[in-house]
Amino acid sequence: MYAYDAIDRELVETRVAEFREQVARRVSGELTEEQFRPLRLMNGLYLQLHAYMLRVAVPYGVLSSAQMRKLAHIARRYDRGYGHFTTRQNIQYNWPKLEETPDILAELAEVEMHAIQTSGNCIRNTTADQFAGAAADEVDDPRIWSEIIRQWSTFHPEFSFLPRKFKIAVTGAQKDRAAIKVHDIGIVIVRNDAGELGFQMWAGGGQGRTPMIAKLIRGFVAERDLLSYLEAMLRVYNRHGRRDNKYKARIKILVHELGADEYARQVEAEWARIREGVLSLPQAEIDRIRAAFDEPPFERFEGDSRAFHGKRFEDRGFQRWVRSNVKPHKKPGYAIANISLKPVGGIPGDATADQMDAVADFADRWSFGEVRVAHEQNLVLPHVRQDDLYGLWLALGAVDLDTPNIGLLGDIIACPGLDYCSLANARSIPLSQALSERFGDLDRLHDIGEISLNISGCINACGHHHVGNIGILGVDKKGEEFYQITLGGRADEDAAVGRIVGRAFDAHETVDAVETIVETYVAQRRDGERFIDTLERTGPAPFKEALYGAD
Amino acid sequence: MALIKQGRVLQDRWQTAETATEALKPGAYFVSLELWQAERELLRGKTAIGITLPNDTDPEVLAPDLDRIAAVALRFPAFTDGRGFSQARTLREHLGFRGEIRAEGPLIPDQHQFLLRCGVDAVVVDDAADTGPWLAAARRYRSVYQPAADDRIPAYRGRHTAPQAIAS
Ligand code: HEM
Ligand code: SF4
Repeated sequence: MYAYDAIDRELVETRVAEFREQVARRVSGELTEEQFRPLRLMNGLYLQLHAYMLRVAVPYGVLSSAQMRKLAHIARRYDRGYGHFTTRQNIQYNWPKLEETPDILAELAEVEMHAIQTSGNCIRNTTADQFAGAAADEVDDPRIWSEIIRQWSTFHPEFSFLPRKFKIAVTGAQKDRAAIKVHDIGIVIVRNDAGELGFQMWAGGGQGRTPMIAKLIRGFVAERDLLSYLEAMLRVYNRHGRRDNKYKARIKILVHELGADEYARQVEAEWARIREGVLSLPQAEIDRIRAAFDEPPFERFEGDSRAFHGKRFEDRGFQRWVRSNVKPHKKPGYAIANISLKPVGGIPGDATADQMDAVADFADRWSFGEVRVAHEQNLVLPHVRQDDLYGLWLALGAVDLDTPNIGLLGDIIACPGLDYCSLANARSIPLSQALSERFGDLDRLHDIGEISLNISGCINACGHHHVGNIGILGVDKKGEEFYQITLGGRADEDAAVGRIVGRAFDAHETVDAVETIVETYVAQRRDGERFIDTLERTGPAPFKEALYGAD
Repeated sequence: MALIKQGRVLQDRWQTAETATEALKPGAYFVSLELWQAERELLRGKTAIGITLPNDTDPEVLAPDLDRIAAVALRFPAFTDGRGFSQARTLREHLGFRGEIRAEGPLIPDQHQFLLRCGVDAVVVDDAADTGPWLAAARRYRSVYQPAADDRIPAYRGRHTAPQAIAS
C-alpha cells in the first residue's frame, strides 16, 4: 500500500490545523454559518436534516487494517457506533459534533487519511476497481494511477472551483467493476499494439437528473502523459462548462452540447501546449508509486486447494457463500472474499464499530492486512488463501457479516434518502429493508441469480438507480412518497441507462412490483440467462404487461 | 480599495476609466476590453494601462497587446466561479504575460494560495477587510503536488531531484 512521505504528511497535517482554526472561528461566532459553509464543505462536512455529516475519503477504496480500526474508533468515540460505506468508496458519519470534527481529522491524519475534497465542486476522491491487484483479468493495477491522480488533484490551484463536482474512476481490468462510464472521466488502462501501457480516456458520463454514458475521447494516452492529458480535459471544462444552471453544469452537458469530437479537438489543442512540460511524469515517480503496490508475499500453490473444495462439498452454507461472495484471484490457491454489508433487512452499507474492528482483524489474519471498499457498498478481503476461506466464513458469521448475497437481489445499493438527506423526496432505507426482507430466502436468492437493484431517494441518483438492472427512484406525488421503476440499467463495460416502465407505485406496491418483475424473469429465462440478458432479449413488454396488464 | 500584493497591503492607485480621454489623463487606469478594442490606437501609447477581462473571455484575445499593457484584472463574480484561475494560468504560462494580474470580486482568504499559484499577484479587497487571514493563507502550505504558474516544484519531481536543485 502507498505510505505517506514527508510531503504528503505535511499537506494533510497543515489542512487539519487550518480546519481547526476555521472551526474555532465558527464556534466563537467570528464566522457566520454562511461564511463557514464553503470552508467546511472543503473538508467533507455537510449539514444534513438532523445533524452534521462527515464524509471521509477512502482513496480508491483501499484501507489497511490500521485504518479500518481507526474508522471503528471514530464511529465509537465520536459517533453513534456505526458508519456508512458509500457508493463512492467513502465512509460517512452521520452524527459528529462540530467542535469535535478537527479532532476526528487529526485522528485520521495519524493513519494517513483525510476528508479533503469529499464535497464541493472540485475533483473528488478517485474511485477504482475494488479487486485491484488481485483480479485475474487485470492489465495493470489501477491503484498506482489512482494514487498519482489523488496527488495531482489534491489542492489543485486551478480546479478547486469547477462548475460542478468532478468524479474520476479508473479500471485496469477487462470487466468494468468501477462503473467508469458513468463518471465525469473514466479511465481504462490498456496496452497498445506495441505492447506499451497507457490509458483510454472517456468523458461525459454521469447520473443525476440527466443520466449519460461517457464517450471515448482518446484511445491511447501514454503513461507519462496522464497528468497533462487530464489537465487539458479539466481546463476545457473549467473554461467552458456551464455556470448559469447548476443542473447543466456537469461535464456531461458540455460534452453533449459540443459533441465528443469537438470536445476532444479542444482538449487536443490544449494538450499540445502543455504535453512536453513539467506535467510529464518522471519515470522515477511512476516506479516509486508502483513499488508501493508491490504484491504481498504470496505463497506458491500449484492449483486450487483440495481441502477447500472438500469443505464446499460438506457444508451447504459455506458452498452458498462461496458461490456468491468469493471471486477468482490471479494467484493459484488464493481467492477474493467479498463481505456483504447487506444483511437481510439491514441498512445497505452500514457497519458497526465492532464489525469494522473484526474486519480489520480478519484482514490481518487472512489478507495481508488489506481491506477494500466496493462501490456497491460492500467490503472486500482481496488476498485470502483458499485454505483459509472456511475459517474466515465461520468468523464472519460470528459478527453477522456472512450474508451470501453479493451480486444477487439482496445486494441492494441505496442512498440515505429521507431518513438523513435534506434533498430527498422519499425514504430509501426502509424500502430497501422491506425488499431485502421480501427476498430474504437465500435459496431463492441464489436461484434468481445475478441482478442489481438500486434505490435513490431523489433524482440526484446517489443510489445509482439509473444503472441498476432494476432501478427505483423516490418521487414526490402531492406530498406522498412514490417510487418510479426503471429496467435495463447497467454500470459495467456495456453501461446503459434504465428505462421507466410506467406509472409510479407507493412503497407497499413497489415491493410487490419487484416481486412481479422477478417472477416474470424467472418464467421467461432460458438456461443460464441472467436477468439483464433475458430483459435484453425479450424487451420490456412482458414486464410491463405483468405490472400493468395488457392494454 | 486595498490591494494585497507580495505579502503586503497597499492602497490601490489604479482607477477605472470609462472613456479613452479619461484613460489618457495622468495616473494608472483600467479600461474594459471593449473600450480597449475600440480605442486601441489611441491607448497604445500609454504605459500605465490595464484591461479588465470578463471571465467568459479567452485570454488569447489579448495576445497581440500584452506587451503594451501593464495589468490585467480578472473578475470573479462569486468565489465559486473558478474560471479566472484558468485565465490567469493561460496568461502567465501560454501567453507569457509579465505584468500584474489582479483578482477582483467576493473571493475568500482561503483561496489566496490558489490564486498566487495560478499567477494572480494582486487581490483587491475592501478597505475594511481583515487582511490577516489573507496573508496567513498565502504561506500556509509549503509543498505542492502540481506545477502551476508559480514555478514551485511539484512533489512528483522534487522527490527525485537533489535537494540543492530544489532550493535554487
Ligand atoms: C446525504 C447527503 C447527500 C447529499 C446532500 C447528496 C447530494 C447529491 C447531489 C445534489 C447529487 C447530484 C449531482 C449532480 O447531478 O450534479 C449527487 C449525486 C451523487 N451522489 Fe450524493 N448526496 C448525498 C449523499 C450521498 C451518498 C451517501 C452517496 C453514496 C451512497 C452519494 C453518492 C452520489 C453519487 C454516486 C452521485 C451520482 C454521481 C453523478 O451524478 O454522476 N451521495 N449527490
Ligand atoms: S439521491 Fe437524493 S435523497 Fe438520496 S442521498 Fe442523494 S440527494 Fe439525498
